[in-house]
Amino acid sequence: MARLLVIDDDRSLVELLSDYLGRLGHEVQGTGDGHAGLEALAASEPDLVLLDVTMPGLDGWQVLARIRAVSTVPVVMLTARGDEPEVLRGFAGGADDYVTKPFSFAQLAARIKAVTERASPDRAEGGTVLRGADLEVDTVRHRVLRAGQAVELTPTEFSILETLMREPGRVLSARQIVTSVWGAEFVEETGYIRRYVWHLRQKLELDARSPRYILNERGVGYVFPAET
Amino acid sequence: MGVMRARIPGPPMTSGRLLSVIRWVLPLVLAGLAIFFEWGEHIAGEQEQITTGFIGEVVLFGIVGPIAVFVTLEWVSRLLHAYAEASASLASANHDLEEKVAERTAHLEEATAELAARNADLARANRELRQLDRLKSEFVSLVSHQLRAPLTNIRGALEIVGGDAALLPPPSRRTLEILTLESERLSRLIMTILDVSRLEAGRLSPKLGLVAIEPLLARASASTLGADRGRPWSIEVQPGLSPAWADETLLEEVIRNLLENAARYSPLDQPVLVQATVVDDGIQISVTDHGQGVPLEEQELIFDSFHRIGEDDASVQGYGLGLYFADRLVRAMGGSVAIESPVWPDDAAPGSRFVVTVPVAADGPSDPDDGPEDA
Repeated sequence: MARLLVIDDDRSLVELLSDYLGRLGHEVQGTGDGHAGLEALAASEPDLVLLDVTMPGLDGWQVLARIRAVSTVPVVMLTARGDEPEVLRGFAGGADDYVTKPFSFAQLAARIKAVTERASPDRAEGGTVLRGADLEVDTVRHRVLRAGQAVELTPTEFSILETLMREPGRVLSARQIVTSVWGAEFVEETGYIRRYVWHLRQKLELDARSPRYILNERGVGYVFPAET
Repeated sequence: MGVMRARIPGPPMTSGRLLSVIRWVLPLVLAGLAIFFEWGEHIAGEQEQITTGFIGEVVLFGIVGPIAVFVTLEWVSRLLHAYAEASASLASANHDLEEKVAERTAHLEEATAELAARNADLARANRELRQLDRLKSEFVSLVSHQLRAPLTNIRGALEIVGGDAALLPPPSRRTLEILTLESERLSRLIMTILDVSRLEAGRLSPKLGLVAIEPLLARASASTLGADRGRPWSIEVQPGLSPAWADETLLEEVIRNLLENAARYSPLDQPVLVQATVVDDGIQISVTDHGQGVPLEEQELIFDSFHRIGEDDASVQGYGLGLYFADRLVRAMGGSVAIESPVWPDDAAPGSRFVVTVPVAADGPSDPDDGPEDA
């Protein structure tokens, strides 16, 4: 489990998060403003920081900049604004993830797990972040990175990629993919898969005619190649 | 505005008077000259007696000729008179016309000035409305953001207590369940308000892609109607239906909104029918209920924000945002939403059908080797 630092001026939220995350086995330290948070960071060297954006005095962005000047500790931003420019600003500023209020604590716990796994791949337990070649698929945040660059996929395209990446090197038939993505009741609806894979390759592959990530075993199915 | 003014010239008054003198004097002078000439030729000359030739010429040149001249001059005089009258009448008409043109021009200028004043009023009202709309959006956004923080705490606290629910007596467990459901409802409302606000501000743009319709309808129906305490429902999809070209997440949100609407406005034991088929201009998805229906006069307003059917009916939950949001989302994806009601020949439960049309995806890959044989 991880040592977490919560920096948020909402004392009720800090108390509730300490209780909830503490029950999950995390060690939680809470602070009510940016200055106290930076001091706690220097003193305790946590595994991950939960940082509120809107705070009096130093706001979340300023605290994030100061953290990044001295540390690579993973930071998850907590905010009441979920606009795309705001999210992009967070990532550009060095945030590792972004959770918009109102969030469920279970969802936040999953995000913490994904971010800590990504930061320390050797600690990964449940496989929330899948890697293959230069692809990184975060199954909690539904985020795909190719060589560090975000690739936007539709939910179904994401599920198909996740299905293939969970079993690298194994050829999956269209029926198996459909069953995994939509459920057994749609096992006969294999006609869509070929079109989805075509679109997926257009977005994912550098050259869709010579795919690297989703290979075709003619007459059998598709495979995400195992790393050699 | 300038007006062309033309004046038709009339005959000068002196010419008229001169002609009236000449028409008498000229024939008399001609008669006198003719008689004098004929007298000189026939009587004072070689013949020295009155002959029939003398009489005939006197009658012809001294009487008939001058009379003809008189008649001609009289006719010319009348023509000139008529011409003068016509000219006067024309001048009078022209004058009237000029007055009318001037009057209308004045009216027009007045109307133009009034129109300009109204335009200025409208522009001012428009600016004020935009300002109000911006303030409203900012207010909605501010309130929604301010609500999100305490709501996070409430939901978090409920999650913590929910972990110990087994230790609670059954009535307290049920209270906890209700609290959780209500907090989720409040969360959905706030998120919808924020989404609407984002959509109106142009900050929510659809990400279009391939969408397989049947799995989407199954997911949306299961998550809304499946939780509706035994509500019967069915899905009918045209075999081999082409995929749509839409935003998968937003389209599912739209269908969920329509399904929640159908569940809200129809009795629990009445089925909801979800159908999908291909039409000329896209994929058509319909949600049909056996509810109270939507009166014709309501159908025009039903996609307006905060408009609810049966607003006085406190038993019907809702905020009048779902259909408005659905309509705006579908239009942003290049589609349309329509309503049909009544659907069934049943006065007590005529039902409603909401029809969503979204573009069909273009044909897929043309490379025959691109894909497994069984795909």
